[in-house]
Amino acid sequence: MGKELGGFQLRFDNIESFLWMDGVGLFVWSSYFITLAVLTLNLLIPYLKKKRIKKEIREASEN
Amino acid sequence: MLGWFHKLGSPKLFFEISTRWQNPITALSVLVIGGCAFWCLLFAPADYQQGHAVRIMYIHVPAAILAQSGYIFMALCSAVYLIWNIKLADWAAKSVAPLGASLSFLVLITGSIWGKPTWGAWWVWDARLTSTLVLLLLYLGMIALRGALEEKGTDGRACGILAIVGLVNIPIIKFSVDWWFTLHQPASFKLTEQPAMPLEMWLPLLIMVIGYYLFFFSVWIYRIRNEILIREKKTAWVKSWAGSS
Repeated sequence: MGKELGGFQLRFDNIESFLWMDGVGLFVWSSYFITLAVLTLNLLIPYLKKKRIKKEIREASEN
Repeated sequence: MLGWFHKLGSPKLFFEISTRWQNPITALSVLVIGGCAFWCLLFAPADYQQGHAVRIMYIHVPAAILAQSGYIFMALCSAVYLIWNIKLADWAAKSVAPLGASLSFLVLITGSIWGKPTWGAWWVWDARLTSTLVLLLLYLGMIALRGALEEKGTDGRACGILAIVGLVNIPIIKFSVDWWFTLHQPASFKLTEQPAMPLEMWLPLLIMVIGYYLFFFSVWIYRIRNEILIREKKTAWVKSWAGSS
């Protein structure tokens, strides 16, 4: 068990145990990275689409 | 009441109102999910049986809740479109489908990764997993149907009916763990009962669910605004919006 931070108990003693997580680190970390990738893409795709639509509308009204 | 409802059905009014909400909701969702992820990874306790693998729960369960809530929301929007013929409701339903599909995919993939260290299998054909796979296929079917019928202009009606018929899958997902013998654990949250897990575990889970809800509406607003811009691109207000900012 790690130290306490602002009233919260850290559950790991060091960075190695945090990454290893008693042997299930690969499962936990891959889940979190896939989630991060899916959520980021969900925000990025419509944001880039908005920029493209805006450019198209602007070009169409200029012509 | 109905007057207000029809007023909000105006694409221009919805666009104006959502302009004020979009960035604050997005920022808040990123803050809540990011901060809570640190909490779940560093400070939440390990489970006495699953050990640290239980940390996957904090991203798997909220994705499952949102994939199902998103479907109900999509079916409601479709019903509004079919009953009152409000076009914005159809665009709202359309904007849910890709987001719902990605969340269903996330549920299945994180569930599969969680299953390996806890059940010893990546996948089992039990009722909860299979009905969640059906949910993903329903979302994908919705996207495909829209793509096929969009030019004919009948996509809203066809997708609306499919969304409402597919609603039957939601109680099957929800109660599958009670109706059939399954490897999957029972519901983590029940509105009527105290959670089976300790406060240090269910509080970060609850906050993560709130973060996912905020994220869902943030992305949905992005998508429906894009839909409005495409459909209304010939109107003066959209041209002036594109030219001014």
